Amino acid sequence: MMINFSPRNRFFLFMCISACMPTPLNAWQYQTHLTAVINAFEYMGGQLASADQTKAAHFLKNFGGDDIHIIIARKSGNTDEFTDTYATSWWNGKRGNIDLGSKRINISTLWHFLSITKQGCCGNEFPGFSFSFAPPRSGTHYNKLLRAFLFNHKVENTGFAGFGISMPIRLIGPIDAYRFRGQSTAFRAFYSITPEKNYLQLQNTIFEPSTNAAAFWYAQAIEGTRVGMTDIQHIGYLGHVMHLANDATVTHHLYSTLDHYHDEYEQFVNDNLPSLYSETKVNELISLFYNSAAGRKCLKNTMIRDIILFFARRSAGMTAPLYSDLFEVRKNCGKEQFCASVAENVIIITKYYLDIHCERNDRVF
Amino acid sequence: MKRPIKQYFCTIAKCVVVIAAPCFFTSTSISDSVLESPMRLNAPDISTIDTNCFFDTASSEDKVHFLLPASISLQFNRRHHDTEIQNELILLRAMAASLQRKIEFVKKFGTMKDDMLQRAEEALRELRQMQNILESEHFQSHR
Repeated sequence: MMINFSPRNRFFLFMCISACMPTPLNAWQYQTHLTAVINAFEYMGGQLASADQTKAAHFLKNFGGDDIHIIIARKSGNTDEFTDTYATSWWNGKRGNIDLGSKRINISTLWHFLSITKQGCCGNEFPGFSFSFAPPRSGTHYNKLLRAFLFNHKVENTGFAGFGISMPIRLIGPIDAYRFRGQSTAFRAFYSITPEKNYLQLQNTIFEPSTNAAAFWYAQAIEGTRVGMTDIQHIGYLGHVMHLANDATVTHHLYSTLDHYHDEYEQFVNDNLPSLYSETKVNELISLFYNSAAGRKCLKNTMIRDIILFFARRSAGMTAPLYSDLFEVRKNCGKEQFCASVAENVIIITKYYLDIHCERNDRVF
Repeated sequence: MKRPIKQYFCTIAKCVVVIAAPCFFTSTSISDSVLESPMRLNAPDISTIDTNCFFDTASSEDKVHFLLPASISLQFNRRHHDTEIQNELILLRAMAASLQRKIEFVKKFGTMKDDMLQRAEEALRELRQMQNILESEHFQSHR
């Protein structure tokens, strides 16, 4: 039976469906991630860039083509669309997304947190997301609701990290993949020793920090490359590293909360990107990094984790967006944090360029 | 052929209007009261904090607690999300009811291991607890 909808009915049907669609709860939104990468490339082609930064941008364009920045930017934006992690129970089955009224939460994005004010365990300096880490007085209840919905669910480790968007060199599940913490030589890698039972009851689960996920994706970006040689697939994985690093500049991702104006703050930043971006601010932040303990080392010997932690520590001090919806607060913190995202991207690209020109054994990340 | 479909859409439209209208009026009146709320004035002006100095001197825990009074404004601003609470309550009740039915079915006919059943019962208790929290908030905002 064919049903013919009149234009008016079609419009009405479209409005009904749009009103019922839940909005996803992300970190920085897609456009923010995209712009942070594009701005990083613009910065590297500008007057304020150092010689290494300019060379790095040229190098990536040589291997990836003139639109490589768009490819990386899209990969960065799409990292929130990974479908590699599920919550399972016999009564609910396997669920990748949870709809909490008007919000949709992708379980795979719970790896994008870094609880910098908490003590890490099992080898991690800091832990990742946990329901118990959220600060008090949240206003909304997304953390508690999600906890109630996922109570006694198990985190499923089927499929491989990046499923749905990227196919890494090592096809392993996210739980195993994100144990990776970094490596100091080709023969000396570091892993967390988080036990399996951590993932049996989601309400008590402490996820691996986003620094681990970033290090894993950096390893994928650099694994299999030769001295001075890389290709588009490897370069594309840098987008995921940048996404995870950029998320760690958002206050809410450092305090394990889906509440506390999480969505509204990110929406504000997304809506005001042109006014929040400042090339001089990015330059200032990069200089601050190079003058810090982590940055004083040669960038080749700096770990991805240290780059992320430097900017995360600064953002952890900016707690105002957790408790205030004032325009000034959002503008000041948004500017600082968005420019930090761009600065991180510049540093990561430069590090990649330096690492590619090293022997495999000498690569530290 | 066309007539019944038209009638069908008209019925849906009427239902949407009937359901959405009270929500719309409730949310408008609550957000208006937020703007007039004197509590908002008590919140510290966070924009005046010298952020650079604040980063260096306070510990992370202190920073959170220092800003806690501002959450009063947040609590009041958030009243407009009362309709969201209602939606979440509907969702929670539906989930809890479905889980309860499944547990009862399994108890009656299933051969589920005890620990698996126990997990589900604990999850149901958690859903009910969350339902109580939301119901009390919903009740308070209407007092």
